[in-house]
Amino acid sequence: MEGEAEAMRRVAEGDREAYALLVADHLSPIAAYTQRMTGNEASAEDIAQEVFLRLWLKAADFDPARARLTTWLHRMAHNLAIDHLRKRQREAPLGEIDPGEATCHDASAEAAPVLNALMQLPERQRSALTLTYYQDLSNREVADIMGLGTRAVESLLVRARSAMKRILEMSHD
Amino acid sequence: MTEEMLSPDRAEALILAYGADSARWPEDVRDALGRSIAGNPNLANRVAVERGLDDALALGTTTVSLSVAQVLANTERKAEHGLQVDAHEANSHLFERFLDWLCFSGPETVWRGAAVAGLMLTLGIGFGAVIPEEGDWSASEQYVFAPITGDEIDG
Repeated sequence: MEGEAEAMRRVAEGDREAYALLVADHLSPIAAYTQRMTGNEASAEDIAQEVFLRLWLKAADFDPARARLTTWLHRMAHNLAIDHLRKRQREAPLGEIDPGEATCHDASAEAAPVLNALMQLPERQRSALTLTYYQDLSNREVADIMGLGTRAVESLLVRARSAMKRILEMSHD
Repeated sequence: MTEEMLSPDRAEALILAYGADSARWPEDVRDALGRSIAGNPNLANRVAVERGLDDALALGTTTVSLSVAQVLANTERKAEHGLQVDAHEANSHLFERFLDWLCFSGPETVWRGAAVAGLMLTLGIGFGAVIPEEGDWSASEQYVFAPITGDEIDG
C-alpha cells in the first residue's frame, strides 16, 4: 500500500518508469473486467486504454488513505463501462440490442456459455458478480466501486447468481 | 464484528450471494458463517449447490490481448493534449448523463419523448407566468392579422 502510494506520487511527477510498472501490474485485471462487462474486445480495450490514460493524467488525485489503487482503477473502469453500455443501448433501436454484441467468438468452448450467460445479466448484476467473483475484491470494495451499500451489492449478487443458474441450465437443455 | 452464529436466514442469504468459497465471504462474518454451516445440514446442502455454480463460473475465463506496450504508446500519444480532450469529453457527456438520470435504463425512447414534452410544457407555463403583460395586446394582434384579412388599421 505504501509502495503503491509512492509509485503514484512518482507518476504524478511524470515518472514514466513508475507508470509502466503500474500498468504492468494492473492491466490484466482491468482489461479482463472491461471485457466481461462489455462482451466486446475492441470496446473493452478502448475502455482499458482510457483508464490508464486517466491514471497518468490524474495520478495526483489518488488518495491512498481512501482506497487501494486497484479499487480506484476499477471504479474508473466501471463508470466508463456503464457509460459505454448505456450509449450503446441508446444508439441501438429498441429490440435490436444484442446483449453480447460480438461476445465470446474468441472464447474457448468451455468459457463461451458462461461468458454469454454473464452478458445476459442486467449491467449492475453483471458488474457485482464480476467484481466479486472474478476480480477478487472484498464486498466493501465492490460497494465502493459501484457507489452502493454492501447490502445492496449482496442483493444484486443473489439475483445475479440465481439468474446465472437459470441461464446455464437452459443452455444445457 | 465477530458473531458467534448467524441466523439460518442470514447465513443462507450470504451463501446465495457469495457462493461456497469462504475466501469470498465478507471478512466480518466469515468465521460465524463457517460455524453456522458446520452446525446446519440444510446450509451445508445449500453450499454444495452453490459450489456447482462457482465451478461453472470458473470456466468463464477471458484472454487479454492488450499489451503494456500498446497502453504506453496510447498514453504517450494522447497525453500531449489529454487535458483538453478530457474537458471536452466531460462537457459532451453532461447531456448524456442528464438523459441517463432522467430515463433510468429502461425503454428510453418511450420515456425520453414524454420527458422532453413535459419539460417544454413546464418551461412554457413558467415563461407565461413570469413575463409581465404589456399594454393592450389586442392592438398588436390587429397588426398581425391585418395582411390576412386586408382590414385597414386605424392609427
